Amino acid sequence: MAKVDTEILKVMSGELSTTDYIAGQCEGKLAHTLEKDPDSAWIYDLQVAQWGQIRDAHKNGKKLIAFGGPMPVDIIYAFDCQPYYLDQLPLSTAPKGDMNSKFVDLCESKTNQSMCSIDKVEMGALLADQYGVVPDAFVYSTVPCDSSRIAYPIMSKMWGCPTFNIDLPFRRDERGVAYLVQQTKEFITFMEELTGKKLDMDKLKASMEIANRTNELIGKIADLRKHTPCPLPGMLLVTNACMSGMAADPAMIPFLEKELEMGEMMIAMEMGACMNGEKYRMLFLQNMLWTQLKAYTYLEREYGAICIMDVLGHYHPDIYEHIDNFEDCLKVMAVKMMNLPMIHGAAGPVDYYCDRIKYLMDEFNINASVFLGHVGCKHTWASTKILSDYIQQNYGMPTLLIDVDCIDGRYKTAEEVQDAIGEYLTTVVKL
Amino acid sequence: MDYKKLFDANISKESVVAWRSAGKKALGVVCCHVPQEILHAADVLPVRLRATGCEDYNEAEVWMSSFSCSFAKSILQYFIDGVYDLDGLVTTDGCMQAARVYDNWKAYSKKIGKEQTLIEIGAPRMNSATTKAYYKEELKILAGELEKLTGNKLTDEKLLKSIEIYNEARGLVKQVLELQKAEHPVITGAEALTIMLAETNMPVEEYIDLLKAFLADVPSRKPITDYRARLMIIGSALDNPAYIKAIEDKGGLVVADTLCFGSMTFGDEFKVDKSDIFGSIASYYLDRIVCPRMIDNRDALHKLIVNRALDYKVDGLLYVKMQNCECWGGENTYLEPALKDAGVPILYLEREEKLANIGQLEIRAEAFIEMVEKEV
Ligand code: SF4
Ligand code: SF4
Repeated sequence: MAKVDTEILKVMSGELSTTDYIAGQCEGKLAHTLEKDPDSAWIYDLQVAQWGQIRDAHKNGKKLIAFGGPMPVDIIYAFDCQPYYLDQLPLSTAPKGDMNSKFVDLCESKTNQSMCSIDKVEMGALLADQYGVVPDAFVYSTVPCDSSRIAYPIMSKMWGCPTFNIDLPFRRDERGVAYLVQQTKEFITFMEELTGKKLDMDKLKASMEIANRTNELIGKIADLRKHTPCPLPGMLLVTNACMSGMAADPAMIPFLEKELEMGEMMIAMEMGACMNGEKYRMLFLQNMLWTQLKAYTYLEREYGAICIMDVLGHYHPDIYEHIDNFEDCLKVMAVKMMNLPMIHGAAGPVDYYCDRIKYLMDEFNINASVFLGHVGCKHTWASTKILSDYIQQNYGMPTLLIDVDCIDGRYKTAEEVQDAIGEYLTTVVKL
Repeated sequence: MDYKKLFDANISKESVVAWRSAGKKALGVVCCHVPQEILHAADVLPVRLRATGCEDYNEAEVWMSSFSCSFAKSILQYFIDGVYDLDGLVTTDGCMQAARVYDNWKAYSKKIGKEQTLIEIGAPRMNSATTKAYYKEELKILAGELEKLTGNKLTDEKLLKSIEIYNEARGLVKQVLELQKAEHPVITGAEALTIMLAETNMPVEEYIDLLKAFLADVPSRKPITDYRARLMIIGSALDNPAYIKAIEDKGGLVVADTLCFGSMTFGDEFKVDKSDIFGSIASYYLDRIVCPRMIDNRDALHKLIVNRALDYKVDGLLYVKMQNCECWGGENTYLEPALKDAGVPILYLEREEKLANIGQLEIRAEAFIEMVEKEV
């Protein structure tokens, strides 16, 4: 008989908050892994650290800053505050069927059914008053999408805490960088008023140095995937979406070092993540399927098909080259905001999306293209023909379009997704 | 002067054909954040794109998928069908689906080898001194592109003249909207929307003349006395008066709106600072409350809606959302209690660009009218 997760039942009944649940789950998994398979414990170390920091921010004397979309997070760290990247919540609840559904349904009943389920979970948890933490400020930008731009102001009003917004420029050019630099300066003023402290340049440098180290590792790990066979499983890509928000967190460093070490070791041993050999190197044109992670393992095992990268999750961040030059650092921060996962492809003209696809197709030895399209992400769906034509014309590769809900597993089962991909690989790609 | 053109909601090619055969340029405009004054000053005809009457957008759906907004898809369909034969397109990133009209228009025109001038400007989604300064530069870029396209120099004088002309149109439309405040208005809601839609595909000077002729004729129009409830309509892009007519046929009279194809597109008078004309345009367009695409205008938008409902003494409000429209997807959370406090009941409706399921609309509208009528 399947074991009942009694803690989930508590979340369902409203007794337990999402933060306490997720932090507790991570701690439990870590303890279990340390006992059974200590070599794999690194996978949970980071989650335990991050969720613990969010849960205990106030206990640790830190202000908790909830944020959404591209924001200059390194600055939040420099003010000794604890950021909470809200997308971490749906990405963590997505595999937890009923619990996740509770928040989706609640949001749908009070607001909008067609909204992206990433936002539905974020708003649903607030409607249920189950964050378990109250942010001291909620800061967010005007992208990634219409959905977040509707959800966040409502949530901001519900939280009733101070808020600050950044408008991400439409064009990613010099003028756009200057625009973001100016807004980042305004954000610093906001943080100074919120905390009652002036920005401490040494602390900012320290946080940028950590970000540099993590970003360097993130870039190297992404590049490992160019190798054939791909040394790292597709499932590890699920963390990409959150990496950007946590780059200045020191807890990221050991996690990323371990991931890099593991990948390098696999390459040295001439091994790939597909245990029965690698055949299909798939590019997922949109997001990850956070709700059905087992589909990744299944495809690797049964078809030798590995997700090399998801386009919206791809992250190869810039590095602060001149850490003593404040203005230069602000420019790098601006570029990083523009190049964040989901932002780079989804939030501007489609040309940027195509450019990223070109880079990944050219560099990662891709031989199968799948638009695993999250149904909530309507503006990326509105570019599917452009994207698939682009791939067909330039790489002679047909693209499979599948509609999924990356967060709400009720939409499609893992079996339906993996069967559709499997059939496509064996009947159309046919390697 | 015969003003019947004001009451024709069909998308007419007449003005565009005449304009282009005079050797001048006509550009499609998506979303009301493109300042038409700038196009006008460059002697370009701005054609605000709509999809009225588009009943079949299958081909556009291949481009934009079944998950996208059917208004945006229908505009693309009309381009594919040749309903719009223009020199190109100017868009802002109004909402993200409207922005995709640009991407797909560009891809489709390239595919069929149709030469198009394509200009996309970024309209900030937030209102501050910094965002206005950015938008001002975007507008200057637009002006530069139009100068290149037409060879016409965009002088301050021309811009001021265009602002004056558009202000005149705004003032006249305001007079039309004022008519709806009467206990027995002389126009229906469907007619009011039709009048406002007429601006989308004719030169503004012609539009002004027609409005003047209509307003002069108002005393001869018969007041409407047989309605059962005064209604207001808000929500996603609505460019089809037939939708409102279906509601009015059931006894409601739509007397007010906050639609981006209706009153919101015209807004209040534009007061220009002659020392900073582009800055004034940027300020006017970002200060103006139009829709929830902005991240920081929700309270002001809700206040405007509630005040308008009270001002026009409406008995009920219709919140009409396009399927798959995110922009208008969350306003109910705070708007509903605000309207409740003001004693205004709401009916939520979802629609597609094509007029499907009219029977269902009629049933729901009739039930709502019956309900709010009793409350009068
Ligand atoms: S997946 Fe798409 S719709 Fe959802 S948050 Fe990301 S950009 Fe927005
Ligand atoms: S109806 Fe909604 S989704 Fe469609 S173009 Fe307008 S704001 Fe965008």
